[in-house]
Amino acid sequence: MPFRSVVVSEWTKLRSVRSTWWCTALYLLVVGAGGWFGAAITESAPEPYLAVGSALTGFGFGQIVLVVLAVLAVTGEFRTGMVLASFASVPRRGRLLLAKTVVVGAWCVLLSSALALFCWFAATRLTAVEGGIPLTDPGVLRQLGVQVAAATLTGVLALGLGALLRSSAGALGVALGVLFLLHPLLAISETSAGDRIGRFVPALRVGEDAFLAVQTPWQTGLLVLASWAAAAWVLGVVLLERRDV
Amino acid sequence: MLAGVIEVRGLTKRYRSRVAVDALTVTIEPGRVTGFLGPNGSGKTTTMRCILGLTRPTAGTATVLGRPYRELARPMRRVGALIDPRARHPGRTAYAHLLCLAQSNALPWARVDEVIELVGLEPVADDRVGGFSLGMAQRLGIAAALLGDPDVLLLDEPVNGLDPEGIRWVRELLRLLADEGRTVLVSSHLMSEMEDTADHLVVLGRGRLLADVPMADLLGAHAAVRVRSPQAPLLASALQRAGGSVELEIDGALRVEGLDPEAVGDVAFATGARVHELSRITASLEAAYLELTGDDVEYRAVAR
Repeated sequence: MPFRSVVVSEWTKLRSVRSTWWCTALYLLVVGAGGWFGAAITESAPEPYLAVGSALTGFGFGQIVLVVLAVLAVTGEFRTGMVLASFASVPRRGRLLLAKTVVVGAWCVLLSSALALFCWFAATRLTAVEGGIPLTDPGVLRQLGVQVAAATLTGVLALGLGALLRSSAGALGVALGVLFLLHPLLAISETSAGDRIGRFVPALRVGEDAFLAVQTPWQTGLLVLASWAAAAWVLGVVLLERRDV
Repeated sequence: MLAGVIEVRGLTKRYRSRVAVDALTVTIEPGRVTGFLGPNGSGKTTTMRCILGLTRPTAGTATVLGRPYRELARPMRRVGALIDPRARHPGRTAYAHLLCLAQSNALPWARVDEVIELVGLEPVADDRVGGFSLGMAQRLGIAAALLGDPDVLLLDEPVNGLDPEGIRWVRELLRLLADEGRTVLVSSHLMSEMEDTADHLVVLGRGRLLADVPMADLLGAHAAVRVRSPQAPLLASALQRAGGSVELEIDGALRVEGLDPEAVGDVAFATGARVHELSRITASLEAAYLELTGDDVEYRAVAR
């Protein structure tokens, strides 16, 4: 079975349910508004990349909606019984989840890129930086790129958890618990153990961010997030292949 | 090898303490409608799910066209299945549901419109399927099964929830598909649904094979002769001497098994017993089925 066919089919599945469009609209609204607000309250910044960083604040909570979208893309199948038809039409379940990941991942990249560009635009209009905020500035490009990558990896992590847990409530609870609650909790604990653990906990934003318990370089942050996403995804595929439906 | 054959060999599926399917071995042949019968909980659905690779058997194998289902490339082109009318996302339109399934197996888009027309869902093709009645959901499931124009069809309780017109439509469709040489396996817990549809019966009880017989044989095996005579006791003993087994019916007639009507008539003539009635009784399929599964009903109402 050509992989392309399965990808096309998964795109039809994604676009033909209302939850996708609700989540998409909400994601654009929350991150866009958050970006405009973040830029507006940052009157000036010493470096272009810091100005963009403020404008990207909205991603820190807006990605919750992206997590919901990705989780529902998988658990929606189990909740409704659609999975029976899906597995009967594509019996190689790993292939099916891979196609779903390609589609949902591409959707995450598309939306997040558009939002990142919008946030950059907001920063250029509202935050004063000496010499302006050129899009070609390496620091700016890195900020935007890291944010898009983080948003997409968050989506993949959510997909993996969906395949692993099969229940919308369960997968959403775990995903948001890990991505949203662990860091603040570790920060409150103010212990050295909390610091050490914090390095290995993924978050909705990577790199230097006030919300994080532990400030890590963006490379570390992306690596941690990618590792969690890969682990959840691989475990999800293994369980999909082994379990009955 | 015959085209379109389902082979089940020693299939066993155990759930914790319960055995759903118990060492089932059966072959489903092409060109006829095979009725897959059994009381609720007898393992029909589990068997079908094992054939489709949805459920992993504890032991044994199930192959379709000589291979495990999971190894089929573009399976919808070979095997069409109706597993559960709820196997759909309620938020999708009927068209989108069928389109995503067709696309996954690289089937032409035109097939979607064709099957929608075939099952009579054109008026509601753009409605969300969550609002469908059970009958409409069944039609949608049958449409999905037919998408790939497959040689093998597995339909789990397809007439459940259909109105009489729908039931007749399914029967005619199954007949047509079998006459085209396809393999059709259709399950039901009601014998009456099979009476005019199936050519062959596979009967399960508590996960075990109870019968794998042509429909005609099952009926023949339970056929009897009814004879009424004013000299019943005389005739009865003569019939028993001739090798028949005789029972007295409530209205005084004799029910004879093991002899055909000609033999019963000859015995009566030779005995000098006057005959007021002589007829062949074709066992109702329902009775034959109840006789087969009587001991194997898993859930039975208990009188209190």
